[in-house]
Amino acid sequence: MKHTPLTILFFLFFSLYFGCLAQSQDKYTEALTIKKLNKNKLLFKFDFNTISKNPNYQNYFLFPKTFGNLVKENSLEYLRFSLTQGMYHLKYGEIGRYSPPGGELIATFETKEDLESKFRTVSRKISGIFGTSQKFSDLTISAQPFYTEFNSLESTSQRTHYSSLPREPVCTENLTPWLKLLPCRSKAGLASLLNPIKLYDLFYHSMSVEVTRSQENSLSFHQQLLLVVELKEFKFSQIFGTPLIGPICPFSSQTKIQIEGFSDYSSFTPTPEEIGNNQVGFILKENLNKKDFNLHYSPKEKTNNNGYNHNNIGNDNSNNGNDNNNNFNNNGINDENISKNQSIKLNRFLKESGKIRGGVITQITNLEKNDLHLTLYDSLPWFMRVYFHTLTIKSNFENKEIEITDLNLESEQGNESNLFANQASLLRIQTSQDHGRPSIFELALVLKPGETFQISVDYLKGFLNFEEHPFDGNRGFDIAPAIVSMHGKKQNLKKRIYYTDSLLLMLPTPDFTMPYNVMTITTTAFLIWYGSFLNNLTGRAGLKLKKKSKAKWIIKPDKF
Amino acid sequence: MILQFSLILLGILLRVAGYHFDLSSFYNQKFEYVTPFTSFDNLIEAVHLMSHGTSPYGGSHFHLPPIYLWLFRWVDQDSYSNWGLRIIFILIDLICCLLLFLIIKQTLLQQKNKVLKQKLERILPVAISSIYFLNPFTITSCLVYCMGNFTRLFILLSIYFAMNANLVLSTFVLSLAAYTEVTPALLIIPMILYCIKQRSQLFKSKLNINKNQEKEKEQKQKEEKEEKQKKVKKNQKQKKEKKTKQNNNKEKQQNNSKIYLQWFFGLFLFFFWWALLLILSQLMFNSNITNIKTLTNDPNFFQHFFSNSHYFTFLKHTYYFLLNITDLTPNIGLYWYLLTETFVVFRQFLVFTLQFINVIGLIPLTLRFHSYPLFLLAITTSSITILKAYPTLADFPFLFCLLVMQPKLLENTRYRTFFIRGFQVVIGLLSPFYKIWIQDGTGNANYLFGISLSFSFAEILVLMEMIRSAMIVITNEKDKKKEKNSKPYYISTPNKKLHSKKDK
Repeated sequence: MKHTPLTILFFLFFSLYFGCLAQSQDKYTEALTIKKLNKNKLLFKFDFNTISKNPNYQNYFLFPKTFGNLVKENSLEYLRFSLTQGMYHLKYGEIGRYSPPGGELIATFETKEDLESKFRTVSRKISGIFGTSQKFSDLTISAQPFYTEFNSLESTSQRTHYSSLPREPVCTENLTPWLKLLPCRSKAGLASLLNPIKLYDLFYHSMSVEVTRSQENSLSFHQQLLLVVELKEFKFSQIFGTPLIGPICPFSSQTKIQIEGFSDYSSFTPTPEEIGNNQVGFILKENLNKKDFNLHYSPKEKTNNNGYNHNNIGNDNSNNGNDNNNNFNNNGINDENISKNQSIKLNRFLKESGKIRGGVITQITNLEKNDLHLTLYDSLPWFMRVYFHTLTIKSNFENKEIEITDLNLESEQGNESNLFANQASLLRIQTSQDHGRPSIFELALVLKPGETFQISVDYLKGFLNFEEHPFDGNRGFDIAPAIVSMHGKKQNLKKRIYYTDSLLLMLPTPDFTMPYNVMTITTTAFLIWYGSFLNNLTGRAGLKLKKKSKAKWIIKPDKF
Repeated sequence: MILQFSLILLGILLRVAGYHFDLSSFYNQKFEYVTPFTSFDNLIEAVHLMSHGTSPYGGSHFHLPPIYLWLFRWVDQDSYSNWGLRIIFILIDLICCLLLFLIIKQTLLQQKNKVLKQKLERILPVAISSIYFLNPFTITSCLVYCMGNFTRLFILLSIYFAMNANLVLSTFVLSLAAYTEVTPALLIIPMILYCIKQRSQLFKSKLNINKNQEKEKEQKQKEEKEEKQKKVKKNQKQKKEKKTKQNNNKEKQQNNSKIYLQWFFGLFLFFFWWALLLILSQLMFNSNITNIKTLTNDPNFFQHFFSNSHYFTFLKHTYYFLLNITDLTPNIGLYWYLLTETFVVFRQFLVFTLQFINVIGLIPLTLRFHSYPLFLLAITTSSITILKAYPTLADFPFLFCLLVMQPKLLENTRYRTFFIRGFQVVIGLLSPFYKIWIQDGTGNANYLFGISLSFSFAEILVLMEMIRSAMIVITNEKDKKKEKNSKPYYISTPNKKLHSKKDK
């Protein structure tokens, strides 16, 4: 045989192609879950999963290269980054993992050495990728939760670093790089529904990226978009602006739309089918490009209020926080703001009189029928100087204070059996530093069915330099929510994580308009002190004795 | 005696009543008395943190040195109603009051004008000490367990010991004051000056007593001799005079060397006590180091010692905190708003210059008033307290009592009514303006800034008036001496005028 250059090229090409295929065992799936929630809310959950087995961190097929490098360079085991707009309340129903408002970054590393510096590089890279200000998540707001487990990895307690920027805005410039991480971008598949103009009008919007490196040497990359809409009937074209057009993503091994929680599947057009595992929905195939897929839902029993229920929005928002304090002494179970399957109810608010002192109160109610084992992670920034001696837990049972047992378990980690021996135990205290790390406390709580714990701690506000205030200084500071995570094997549940409400803290502001006046006036006072001081000591001119040389006293001794 | 006793009883009763009606929880959050440095809540928090095995200085609440932690390690949240604690704080005030009484009484003993002395002895000590003990500011600071009371007690004790020429105890107590609040360390020079003066006076008075007894004997013998000596020529007399002069010079030299020794001794003692306290508190603070043996066994002892990583970490939270003014919580001082409103770039420069000026200003003061050490002490103490980072209103009566202690100086002050009215208005407006800003949110920070500035400004002006009147007294005394000793010789013209007027 003659080996012409063309044949050589041909063989080369083929060997490369098969080589690539052999190396990239990447699997990519797309899914959209539509779920009915309480209070006329609908959840649209987009899941884009890429799993790469035996990655070599050199050739990437479907797995995004930036994240591959990030994992390798910083020896990451787990990374989760989310950007959220709006606050999700548990009264709408449980939707699995959700995110607090603003930006949130969780990173678990292989080892616990140099955690802070590694975390800093990771947060800078993330902020570079998504165009956020996550790089400001320095030590003043980031910390290590020891007892909250964010993932299914084992004994992550001292290798995890957490930061949350509750005031981070979300907009299209964050969504674009997020979409670019998908194999088909937003050109094809379910991602073509994600029209930035429509997305940010919705009730709740949360996009997240999750990278997990499991011990079987496989990398999974999970992109999730949670959208909560307040509608009674919907059409794809109404919510997203377009129906699902065009080809589904050719790299996707499965593209499905799953429908949950609706009583009447017949009011959907097209009607959903069974897709296995007791799930109802559609499995989309390539023939989609012949006709548009415009899912339409209109319930047959129509109420008067169609579409947006404007009255409801106001009511819901007013109910979410402070007035729940009133029914602390009732069993919180008979509350309106509770969904059927809810296992826990969380409230958090500030008590303040004046702008200097105050307290943070967190209420946790057990709505399950068995005992709940919870850990609470609360991190407050340094300018809330926490008085740890005021930390108290009150129970609504007999309305009494619960004794907090102090467990210094930092030396022996992972002894979960010890954690919940008492009704309430203090696991960890981290004191704050000025302009530095936040103050943290972690509690382990055992709640009986129907029991409400009220955890309160007092603080003294620190005063900031006028440059340290944000530009709208009178708006206040957003305080990241506390994290409640559920432990225990009884419930056969995954370790679930809940977030309390985030808070808005008002700090006393100086006058931003006149720094120069203050500087000049005060330094003048100093100058007068020093000047007249020297003048009096050196100058002899002007020193006159009084004409009467006899003493004239202020206190006249004769009068006494 | 009855008057004094009843006044003391009244003061104690007022305090007890305040505690009984739980006024302490009312005044607990008053910014005039509760600064980050003096707050009792912060002490409770520190003790609580200690019991949890974390550093008491965490959370930037607590800024007192560790010995106070050790003293108050039994304190908890309920101790606001603890009578033991209340009695301690009442006792502190009572001791301060008694010390003031004793100090003023002794200063009056040295007064030369006998008529005045008799008049003043009856009234002045009682009046001033009761001004201190009975005024609302001191009582309130006692009610809120203001930790600044300790510094005041130590300064007064130190003055008292110096008055009795007890250098060892005086420096020890002063080192306690410096240990709590660094800046009183500047008082060491006037304190030693005062000690030396008192010692020489005591020495003189003793000598005088001895001499008088000897003289009486000698005179009888001498009288007979002198009659004989009168016949001797005048030249011999002159020679004798020369000899006595030489003897005097020798005595002076001896005295000088003694004075140098005392200076050295005083300074050494002061810093020795201070270092001892610091080392002691280090031992208390670091639970890992239980005795000195482990300290010296540490191979990297000196490295750690200077790198500040393991040893003396509390210095950063106590002395550095006080000197660098890191906490910008509003108080009645000058610094808090200045430092909130300055750009962060200039912060270090400003803090350094202002603190430096405070120290440097004491040098001309010491040079001028070195022969009037008690007045020097009063002026230095008040300038330290006026310009300190976290002053409280309770410092105000303390300063007043210190300055009024020498009635001679009050004579020449001007604008008395102006100052009295001014202080009334300013102190009255302090808490409303604070409330406007912090509680109600109807006014902004400038209100409080303005009023706290004018308060400090008024204090500064009073201090200036006192210095001025002291200058008048000094120049007057010098001139009198010169008149006696020799022909009037004036350096500058205004004194000529002064005397010419006086002569008329």
